[in-house]
Amino acid sequence: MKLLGVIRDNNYLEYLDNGLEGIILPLETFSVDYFKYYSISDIRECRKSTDKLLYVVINKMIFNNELDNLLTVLKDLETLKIDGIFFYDLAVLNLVRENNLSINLIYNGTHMVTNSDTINLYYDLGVKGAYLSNEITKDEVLNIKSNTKSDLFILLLGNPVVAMSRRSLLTSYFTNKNKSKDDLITIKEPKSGQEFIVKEDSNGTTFFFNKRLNLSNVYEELVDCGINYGIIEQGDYNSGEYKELINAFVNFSKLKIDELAGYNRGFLYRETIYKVK
Amino acid sequence: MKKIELLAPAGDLERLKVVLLYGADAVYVGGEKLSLRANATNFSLDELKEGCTFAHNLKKRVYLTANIVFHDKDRKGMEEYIKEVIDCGIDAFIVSDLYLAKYIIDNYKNVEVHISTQDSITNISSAKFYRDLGASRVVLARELSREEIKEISSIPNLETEVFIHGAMCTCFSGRCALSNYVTNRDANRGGCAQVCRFAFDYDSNDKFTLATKDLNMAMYIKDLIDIGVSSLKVEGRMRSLYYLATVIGSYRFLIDSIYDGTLTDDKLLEYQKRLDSVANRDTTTQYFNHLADVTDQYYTGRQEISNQEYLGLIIGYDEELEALVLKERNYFKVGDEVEIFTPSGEIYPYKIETIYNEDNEKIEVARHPEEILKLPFKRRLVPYSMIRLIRKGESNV
Repeated sequence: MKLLGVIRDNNYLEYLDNGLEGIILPLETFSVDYFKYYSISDIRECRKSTDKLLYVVINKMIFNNELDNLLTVLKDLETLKIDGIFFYDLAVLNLVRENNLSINLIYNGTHMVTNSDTINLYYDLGVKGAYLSNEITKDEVLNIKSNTKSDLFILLLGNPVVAMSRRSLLTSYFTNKNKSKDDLITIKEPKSGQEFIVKEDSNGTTFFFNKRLNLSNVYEELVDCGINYGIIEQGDYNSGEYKELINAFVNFSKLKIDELAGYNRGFLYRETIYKVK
Repeated sequence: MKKIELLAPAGDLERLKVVLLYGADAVYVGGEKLSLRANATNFSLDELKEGCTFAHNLKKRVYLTANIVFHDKDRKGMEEYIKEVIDCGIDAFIVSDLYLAKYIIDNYKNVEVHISTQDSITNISSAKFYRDLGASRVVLARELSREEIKEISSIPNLETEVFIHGAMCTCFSGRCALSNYVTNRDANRGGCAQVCRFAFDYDSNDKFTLATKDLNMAMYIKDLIDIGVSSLKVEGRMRSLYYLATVIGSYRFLIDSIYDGTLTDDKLLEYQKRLDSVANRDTTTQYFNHLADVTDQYYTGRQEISNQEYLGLIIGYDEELEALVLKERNYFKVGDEVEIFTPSGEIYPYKIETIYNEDNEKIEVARHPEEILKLPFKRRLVPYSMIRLIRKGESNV
């Protein structure tokens, strides 16, 4: 399994030297659900400074007035020889196909990447990778892997994205309350006790789960079954802690990872229900 | 030019009949598998067959929602089920998953595939992708403006369907798993617990809420017709018969009046008011004229208000007594002023002067929901006619 990072500071070269085999770069204006975004020139600089894997994220819902700019950006990225684009909106796939662009695509449907048939259909359409949903069980992950040729990406460690809205929910809330606006707050659902980080930017509002997901307990199993890429988010770790974490995956130490990241295994053993008796 | 379609929800066979009788051109229903309303009273195959026969006899159509984001284990029996529901006579599937859409398109030429709003189609390019795949219609994301809807609706050989009335999701459809994380109920497989309507702790003095007001597009039906939308969709498979009858009947009137050029401002306001009267939340036009903002949200924990204007469902006629037989829904009494309305749009103003119980004894007050009662009326009315309160009389009881 190749380890990819999502970085919040500017030290990506150190992390690549430290064991990451690549990084994921959310493209400014065209991506959501991240804390740090990169311009095309930033990505160009990254490409110049490393031969390691560089993936770009374009995962926002695209609106008509953004399509021309999106095509320009896709053409730019084609020339930069990045290793792939994580996409959500099918406009990305459609534009890549219509314009015969030579770009490796990874389906990044957030909560929708849950079965092997759909991943395989995307594969047949030229999308050779899929970023699995965080809301499926370990058995489902293993089953998907055994039924697809597609490269699979999985979040090993980080705060899962829970929801995304086009609405400026924090602006609205603070306007209504006549309070000064905060772009980042934490809320708690009182009955369940679950906490969410709420972040607003010009594309809308994202909800993140406030417990860091940590798949250290199945890491070796995921490696053995052939999951191709594991993603480790920096989150709010400082540079030293993040290097320790990367190290703990490279020279695998479950104990160390758990010490740094806690024990939230997400939905690995907890199948969601959908019929309430 | 083809007349715009009015598409209504139906959680069960009775609702299907009511919305079609009240003027819907087509109805969307959930089956026992693959539907995003797993907890609605979904249609069995027999019910589906009966519903299709009922609709087709009226020259109307039935669409089946098959819009879950399925997991590998949900795949079992999928092909058989698709064949079975097609054999029941459905006219189209409303599908979210790309694999499922392609499977149906490739294997069945006699049924349409509509792409669900779950896929949040927000632009021309993704809409064309689905058209080229073989879908005949896309249900647009609810986050679009008039201009954006117009542009997508201009794509040749692709119908667009737009929500015009009912509850709104706070987040993009398909991009929300709040329900999964708070209740372990899978939002994208039909288990949504509507966590966006919960109140969250934020600071010691206040709650954070993210619930939206409902959608009501009555004032803009002509605009939607003019910009080339194919279908107007009402949300709410689990809503009451009265709500559905009122909403569908109102939009039927508005659409027909626009097409025959008889809609006046007064009538439009009257029907807007009628639609507001059955809503249990405030309504707005959400993204149609501007990005949703502070005015489109709720900031208190409780948003729903109870509506008690639905007094009864007419279920028959007592020839001897010359009285409508009804099943009571809400309290009413002698002296109340009401309207009796029928599926074909007739409205009879009526003042209650006498109420009989099931034993033909006169009573002053109807206070037991589900009780069978009778109201003197000179003519028989068609099934599914209803009574609503207009003005309460003086209260002596």
